[in-house]
Amino acid sequence: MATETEKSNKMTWILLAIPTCAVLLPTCLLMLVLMLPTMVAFIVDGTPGRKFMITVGMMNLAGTVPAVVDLWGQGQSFQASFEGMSNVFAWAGALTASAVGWLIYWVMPPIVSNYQGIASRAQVLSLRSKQKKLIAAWGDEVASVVAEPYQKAGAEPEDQAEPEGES
Amino acid sequence: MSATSAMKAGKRGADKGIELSDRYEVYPDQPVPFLSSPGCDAVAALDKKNPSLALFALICSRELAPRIDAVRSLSHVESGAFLTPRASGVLTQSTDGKRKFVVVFEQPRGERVQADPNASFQPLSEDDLIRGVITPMVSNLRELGGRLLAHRAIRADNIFTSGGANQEIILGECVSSPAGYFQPVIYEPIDAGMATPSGRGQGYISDDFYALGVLIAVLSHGGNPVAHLSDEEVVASKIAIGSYATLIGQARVSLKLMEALRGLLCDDPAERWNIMDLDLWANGRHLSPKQATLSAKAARTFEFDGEEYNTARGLSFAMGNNWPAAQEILRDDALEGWVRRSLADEKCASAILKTSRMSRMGGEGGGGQDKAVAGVLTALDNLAPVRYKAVSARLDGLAQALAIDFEKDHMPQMISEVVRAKLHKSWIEAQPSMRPEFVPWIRQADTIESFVNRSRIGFGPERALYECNGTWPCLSPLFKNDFVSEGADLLPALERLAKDGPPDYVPMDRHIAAFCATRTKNLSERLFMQLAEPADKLDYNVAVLRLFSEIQRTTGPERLPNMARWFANLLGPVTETYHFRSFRQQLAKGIESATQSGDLAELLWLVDNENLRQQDEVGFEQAQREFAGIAGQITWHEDGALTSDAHVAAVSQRASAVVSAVLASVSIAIMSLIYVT
Repeated sequence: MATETEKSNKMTWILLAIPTCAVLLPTCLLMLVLMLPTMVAFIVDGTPGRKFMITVGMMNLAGTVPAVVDLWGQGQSFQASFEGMSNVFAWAGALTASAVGWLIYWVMPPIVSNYQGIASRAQVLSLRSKQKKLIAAWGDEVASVVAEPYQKAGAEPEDQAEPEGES
Repeated sequence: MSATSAMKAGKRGADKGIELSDRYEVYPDQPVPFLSSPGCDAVAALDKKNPSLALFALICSRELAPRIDAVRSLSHVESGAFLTPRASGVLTQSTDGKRKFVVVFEQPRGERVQADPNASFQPLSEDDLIRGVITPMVSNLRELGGRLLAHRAIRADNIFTSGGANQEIILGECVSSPAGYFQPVIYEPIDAGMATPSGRGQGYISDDFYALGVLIAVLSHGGNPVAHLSDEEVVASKIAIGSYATLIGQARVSLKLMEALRGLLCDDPAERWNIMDLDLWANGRHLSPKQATLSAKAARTFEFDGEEYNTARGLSFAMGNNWPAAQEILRDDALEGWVRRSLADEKCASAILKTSRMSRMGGEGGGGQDKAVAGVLTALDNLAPVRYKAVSARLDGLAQALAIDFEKDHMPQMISEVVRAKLHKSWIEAQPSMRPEFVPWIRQADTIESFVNRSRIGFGPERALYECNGTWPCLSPLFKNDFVSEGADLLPALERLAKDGPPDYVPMDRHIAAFCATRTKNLSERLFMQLAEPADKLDYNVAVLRLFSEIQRTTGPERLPNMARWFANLLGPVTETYHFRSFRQQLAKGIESATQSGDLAELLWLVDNENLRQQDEVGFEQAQREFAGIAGQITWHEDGALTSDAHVAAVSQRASAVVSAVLASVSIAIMSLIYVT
């Protein structure tokens, strides 16, 4: 059932894309060529949800905007489209923007790792404070019964009942 | 007489006395020894409204409790020939702080006729006896008879000379100790003489007429006419030859006096002279008293414990005094054969045969043999008291024996066995006829039986004691220095116990529980069931508090701050059973407030609040679950769930996409603005 829905969505997109491409064919040809880094990213991306492709693709798209604006300024002809494809500055903009996308994807893990470490420690402090308050209100006996520990090995927090305040 | 005068009011007024009934003062540190009664010390007393009146007070003991019902009955009697109570009550001795029941009397002007039961004195002439003794005694006995009260202390050492020209005697008091307890055996009819002092019971007015007969014999003789005989020998002699022959013997007595003596000393209570006979005799009518028939003599004697006996009553008395030898006798049918052949008493022989054979079938040991001995003794002498091992009590004396001998080894147990074995019913069945006075005593024995068969706290022999002895003080060891005889006295007595700081024990024992159940009306049996089946020590303490709060509601007093403090200490751990600290603090404050107000019900509400406890339990469970959840979260964090490679990769991928999208959008927006402008 799910597969049929996906197929149906794809078909909808294709049906919408064909007339659009037919009307904006010079623009589409130009973008198809300048979005080459995104296609490469699409091929090499193995992440769930193709986050790498999205990261590179978004920046790549921003990098193609000057060339597309030039094309539209010249009347969106095939001639202007081919000139755009051979324009060094257009390529430089598209590739530089894609490189920034690559860069974002490359520097994000250490940043996230540090942030999560700090957040985790703060969260533990907050939870311990809550436990102290419970002990102050109910006595040490309240700690005598401890619930089943959360699954540890290989647990994906998204899949768990994520604790309150989780980022 | 001079000694009396010297003692009278001599030192009164020197020190401040202890007030009694707002009108009298008692001086415990000023003894008046010559007015002391057996078991009770006499001390000086003062009537504040009439200080010239010479009074004395008897300080009664708790173990040989005074006859409070008799005190009440006689307190309004005005008689010049009888020491009647003027006031009574409980007072606190300043020397040792002990609380004692005291009874105030007017001092007789004369001295005791007989200084002690063995003393000799100048015999009284017939004229003195009739005018000085019998005439006032008739008046006294009429007064007592009108109140359905037996004096039970008519004896030569309990009568006083009047001290003036009038030679009439004054009868001493009869309320300071249990009825008949201190009567020498010679003053007691045969059955009461066979009983132990504790088992003589309240007795009947006919016992007083008998004692009057003995008193006349003693006064005319100038002392105890049978002083050379032991108590057992006196009783044996009365059984063998009759009371008159035992006490008068060959002594010379005028015909007129002999008539009265024969009538008063008649061993058959039904034939014994009563007030009408004595009145008629005093007015000059000649009566010829019937003499009780002596026991039938056997053709040949029966040997028991080295002695020869020729009457069933004599043998029964001897067997009752030697229980192990009596058990031996029942091992064969010799006794039954003797009764059948020598006494020709088929009915008695059959009863003995049946009883002794049942005992032998039951084998050695156990209660069967003792029950058989008791049965045989009753068969041999149906007029004797109920006898069972060390118990020897008239039917009306069982309850009193239980009270007096309660602290003695095994006595409550033995009296319990008497009623369980239904020996009282066997005794009734052995009587030649059912008499109306038996009915209340049967009911009393049934009451004892119903309570001793239930061993739970609030029941047992203690409950029987207080149910059947309506004014007997509580014998709890907690009140060894107090006198608590009414339900309303109990809580104030406990309040006094806690006056110098709350004790560390629980103010409850079997005596107090039984006393509460008897002397406080309308207490639910549920209260005693909770005492009997507590879940733990704290639950028991709460049950005790519940009982006392109910008593406080019923009898007061309204404020019992010392008791409340006592229970607050005992029940302090109750607050610790609550988990929620806030509840604990609220409870502690509430308990302190209840302690100050002295309201036990309020204290109970605090320590036994089911609603609050339920809230605490539910809240605690929720808190435990929350704590466990938090502990799980901490473990999750400490296990590095957020900093794991997989988690970081996933988050950073999402973050990259978002950052990229935002950056791209901003770039496109800026470029669009540039191109447009």
